[in-house]
Amino acid sequence: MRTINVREIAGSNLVSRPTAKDLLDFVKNTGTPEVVLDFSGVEFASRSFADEFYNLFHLNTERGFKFTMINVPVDIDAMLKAVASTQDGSGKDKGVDANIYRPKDMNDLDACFSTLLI
Amino acid sequence: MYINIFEYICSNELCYTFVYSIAALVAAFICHWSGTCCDMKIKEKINMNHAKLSAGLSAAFRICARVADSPDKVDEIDLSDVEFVTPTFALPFLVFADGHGKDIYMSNVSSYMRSIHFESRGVDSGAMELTEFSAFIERYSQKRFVPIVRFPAQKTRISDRDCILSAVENILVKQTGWKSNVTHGIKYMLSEMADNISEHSRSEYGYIFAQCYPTYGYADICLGDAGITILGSYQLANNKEIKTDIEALKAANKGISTKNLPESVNRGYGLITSREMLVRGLGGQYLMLSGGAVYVDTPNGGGYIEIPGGLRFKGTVIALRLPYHNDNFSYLDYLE
Repeated sequence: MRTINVREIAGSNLVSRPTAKDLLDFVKNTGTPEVVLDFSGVEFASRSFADEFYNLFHLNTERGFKFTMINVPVDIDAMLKAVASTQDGSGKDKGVDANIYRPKDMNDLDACFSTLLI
Repeated sequence: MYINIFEYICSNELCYTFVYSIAALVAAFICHWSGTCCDMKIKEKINMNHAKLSAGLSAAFRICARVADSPDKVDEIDLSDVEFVTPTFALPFLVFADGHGKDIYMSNVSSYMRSIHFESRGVDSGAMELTEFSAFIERYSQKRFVPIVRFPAQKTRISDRDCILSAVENILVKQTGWKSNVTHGIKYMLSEMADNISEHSRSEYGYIFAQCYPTYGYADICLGDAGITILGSYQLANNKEIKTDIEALKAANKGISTKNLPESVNRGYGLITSREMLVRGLGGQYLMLSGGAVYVDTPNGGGYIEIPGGLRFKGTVIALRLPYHNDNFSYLDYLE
């Protein structure tokens, strides 16, 4: 089993979907069927990264690939748990019932903004 | 060794001002003698009071509406009465100018507008080496604004994009003194918005511009793209139920992904969680313009607004008003 330092491969800020793909490609290129991903030194992971990471790595788990994670910072652990819990699309629908305004001119538009206190 | 002479000259603030002044004079001279352009001179009395996030946007709408109504191929925007512009003015205006297909020439630009690189339509960070851009942006660490930065948005340049935005974030942290709890929330929001530009807009580049107001305890950050709009993105995904810009804004803020794929059910959370984090978590304000509609959300409520007169922007702009401090905030509380 090989330990891979995520920070050395992908940096301390994991902010985009392609970064997760790059990480998976690196892991696959090692030719090792079982790896340990060491997250020490990683400071931040975006939701997009976490979602892509979750899907790519779990998809490959189903294909016989095994991985474990160590030294996962609290924030990143919370992010991975968040994307895992929303894979069914639950929890959306916030703010959709707001009013619709159709101002007749630019002065009316300013009045709309004032009404909305913005 | 390849040297982009124009970028090299423009790396010096004084030379930059000089070059653009000369360019403006040459443009005015050509326009005058050719007699083919600059027929329409637009001078709008605008209220750029930053106390309201919408003030700049409203001013941009008025000017863009006059440009849209003008029959001329070239319009001159006379900015002699305008000393200061907010991010909610600058980015919508630039997105409009990029997408309208007209030559829009700005005259009597103030020194502030030059310093934010408004006249040159942003600093082209994608044409710079990353070390060069880092050194350039570092010069703003003691100022109260981040100039308009044009960053690459293509999927082939994600790494460059992330490095550029990370450098901008670092400058903002220096300018505002945000604590790590707020900084992490802002990193989350900006990364989601930049990712949306790269994933959905089909725009080659995005814009970012920020202005800090330390006396009032908030900063305004705008991100934008001159892309296909949110409605265009749904249409490209063959979504036939979403037909208007307001419906598209509603769908995006409901978390309906434009990725028309079975595995995309978990997409679309970035926008919702960012908005909740900003408005409910930090007590900030959120404004989103796409096509011909605007969505706003504040701690006092929100709404969708159709821009009057059929005015439409070929792109999307998101504006965030971010309070400097909130000790009780943790972005982890808003991940869902």
